[in-house]
Amino acid sequence: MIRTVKDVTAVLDRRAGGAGRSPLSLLRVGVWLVVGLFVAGFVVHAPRAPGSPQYQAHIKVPNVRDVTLDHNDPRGFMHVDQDPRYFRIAWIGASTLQNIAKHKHYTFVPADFRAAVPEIGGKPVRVDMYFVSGGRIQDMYNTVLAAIHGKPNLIVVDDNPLYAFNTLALQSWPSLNEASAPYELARPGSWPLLASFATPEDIALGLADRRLPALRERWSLAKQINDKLDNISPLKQPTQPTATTKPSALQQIQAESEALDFWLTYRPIDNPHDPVAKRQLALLHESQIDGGSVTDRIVAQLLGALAESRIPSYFYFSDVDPQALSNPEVNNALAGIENHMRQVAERHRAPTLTVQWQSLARLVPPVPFNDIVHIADDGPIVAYLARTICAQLARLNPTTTCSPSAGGSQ
Amino acid sequence: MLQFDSFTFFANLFIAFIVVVPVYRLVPNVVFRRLFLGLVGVYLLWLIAPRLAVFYLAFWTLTWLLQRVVAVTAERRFGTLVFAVAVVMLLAPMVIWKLFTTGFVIHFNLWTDTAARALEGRWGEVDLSRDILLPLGLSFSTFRGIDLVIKTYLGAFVGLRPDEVFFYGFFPPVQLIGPVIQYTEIREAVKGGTRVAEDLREGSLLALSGLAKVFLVSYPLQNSQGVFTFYKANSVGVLWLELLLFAVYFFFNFAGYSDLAIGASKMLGFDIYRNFDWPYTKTNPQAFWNSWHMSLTHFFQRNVFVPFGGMRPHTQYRAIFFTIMAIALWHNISIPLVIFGLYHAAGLIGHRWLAERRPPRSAETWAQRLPKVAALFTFFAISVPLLELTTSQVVPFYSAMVGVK
Repeated sequence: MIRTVKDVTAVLDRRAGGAGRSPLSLLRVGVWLVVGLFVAGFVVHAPRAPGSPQYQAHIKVPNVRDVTLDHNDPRGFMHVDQDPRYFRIAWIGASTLQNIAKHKHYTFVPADFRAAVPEIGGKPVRVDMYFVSGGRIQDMYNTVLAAIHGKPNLIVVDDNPLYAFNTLALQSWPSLNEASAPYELARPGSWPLLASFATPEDIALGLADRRLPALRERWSLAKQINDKLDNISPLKQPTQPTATTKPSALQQIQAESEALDFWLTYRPIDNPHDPVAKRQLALLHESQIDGGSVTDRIVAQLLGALAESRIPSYFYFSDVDPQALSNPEVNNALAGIENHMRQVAERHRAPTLTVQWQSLARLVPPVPFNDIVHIADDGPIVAYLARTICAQLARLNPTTTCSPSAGGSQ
Repeated sequence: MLQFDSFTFFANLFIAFIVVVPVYRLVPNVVFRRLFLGLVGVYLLWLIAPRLAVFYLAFWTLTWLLQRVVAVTAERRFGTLVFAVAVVMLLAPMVIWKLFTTGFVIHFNLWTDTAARALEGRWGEVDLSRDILLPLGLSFSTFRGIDLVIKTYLGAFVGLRPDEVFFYGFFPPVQLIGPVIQYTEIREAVKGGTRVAEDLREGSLLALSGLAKVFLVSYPLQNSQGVFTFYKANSVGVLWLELLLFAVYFFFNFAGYSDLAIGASKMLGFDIYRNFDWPYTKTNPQAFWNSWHMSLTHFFQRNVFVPFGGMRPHTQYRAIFFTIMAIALWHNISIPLVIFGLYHAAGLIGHRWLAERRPPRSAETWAQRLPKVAALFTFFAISVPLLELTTSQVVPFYSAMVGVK
């Protein structure tokens, strides 16, 4: 009877020629495992990776899609094809890409840009929106690396000045580590970041994913299996469990989506009952702009990657509520961040890269805001971006035709 | 937040083994090996969150200090007092966690993050982005630390050196889950190891058996956990079915991860004792507990059952009671766990009482064993919800199990 591993090895010795008995046969077992995974990639097919339907539903403009996958999906983003019929823009950003106006008018800056600039260089514009909701600076870097890999014609990065140098939250999408690990490995300057954020599992699977579809698709396959298991199980699971009592503090912590919520609750940097704008000012003050933090390395690597890619790239600091900016304290804090970004950007100059280190608040007419950084009308912003991005493309290649259409989103 | 997938830990461990095993095997120096494996353990904790690594660095430094003090004072007049204080100090974090869970979890994260920042500024910055954690592995570390101090007090060890405690404390495979190892299980093996291929082979097979238990058996049954949330919406038959499935899930999940830990140890040349011996095939409560989470059961047998007179007829029932209550309450200090302890104490004492009056048959056929196995499995499965439910859920859940809603 087989009870222990020694019994199993005895069986292997008798019936399988002593599999794994010598280093060579261990190697053989490993090779067969890899071959098995490779073959499984052809036999087992995962359903197409789902996008984020809740965001895509708000995009009414053609040729614009949100390519970000589920928050836990280690593939990070949808496969982006390199269709030469289009002028392809990879537009990266977090919640500051959203334009949520009153009366539920909900759009995205890249989509409105596409409406304003439907053609570049005689080709229809296609925007792949890398919308990393709640993304922090390390997430932005991982996304930039993924976007570069898709070889777009233009990369636009929208960065929130609240979090660019903020050490309170460096990352909220750890699932992106795996997809970007191979690209980070190829950049020695990135290795300290890789060591800080990625795990051996991220690196190994990130490398193996490229060759082994069965591994790459495992998240979808697992979801497929889970759905089937849910169907088999006789246990009825009502979607809305009966609400009983107020959740305990522990349950509240458990329900938080990122660690930042915990730190802001239990190590408050301000009064938790203050209005959102005041709380975000406190966040602005948390930026570390003395050059001694991890954020400096991340921002430097991000700009370095864009510069080295030779892909035309436009990096900008998103808009800030002009009302908040009229407060000298906010203005000074923001100016400090902008100035530091300028210093970092100066070390990563490239003809293809434009770093708009000033917040759009300094450059566009005032627009209404929902809070200090979330806009409610992106018209002037889109107009400004259309103008400056077209100017950059024209500077890089004077024959490029790029002009905002009269009937854009203005 | 507050959730951690143990598989991630083992995935990182086994991938790190691509480098760790060759380096460990190639360098025969014992001190190097101890420090190297200890550092690997620290690194694996750091990956979860730097604050966790900092916490355990403090915990094992304290353990080293305490066992040195116990070693020096063991033969003195106040030695017992020093020993008792040392045990209480090591137990304190775990007991506070079990009694005041919310406050402990909050302050554990706040204080250890502050310590990580103080130790190395960038550790602190990285730490802020990591998930908020329960004190992962604290129970197991507490038992290992106490075991070290007890054995030092009893004279099994003279005071261990820092590298020895560092190696024991951060022995990588058992950081979060798995057997509660004793120092003697790893003390000698670190010095030798020439059966490299054989160790790798046996270790890999054990790890594979662990993976099979986790992914092929336990994973498909994980939905059964829903029985503790949705008991009001399901029929009695479904509840019983799901409860029995959950008991299967519970065993295979835990046993699978134990196999992964033991397999990983074996790959490095360490023979760690088995943690489970197919408990669901046993026919009586005593055999069941002797084969369930054996490393912990043996810890309590050594340190509770024997001192309370488990080997003497007139005190054996008292010893059984205290042992099973300790086993129950390490899960959590709560009313459901007190009930769990009383329930199994009744089972064990009842079995012992009966066995003394009616000795078991020497050999039983499968037909004779099967009803007993089924009855014992059901007996255990009925108690499993007590490990999962809060006090206020106990009566509604068990009422639903008998059709009263």
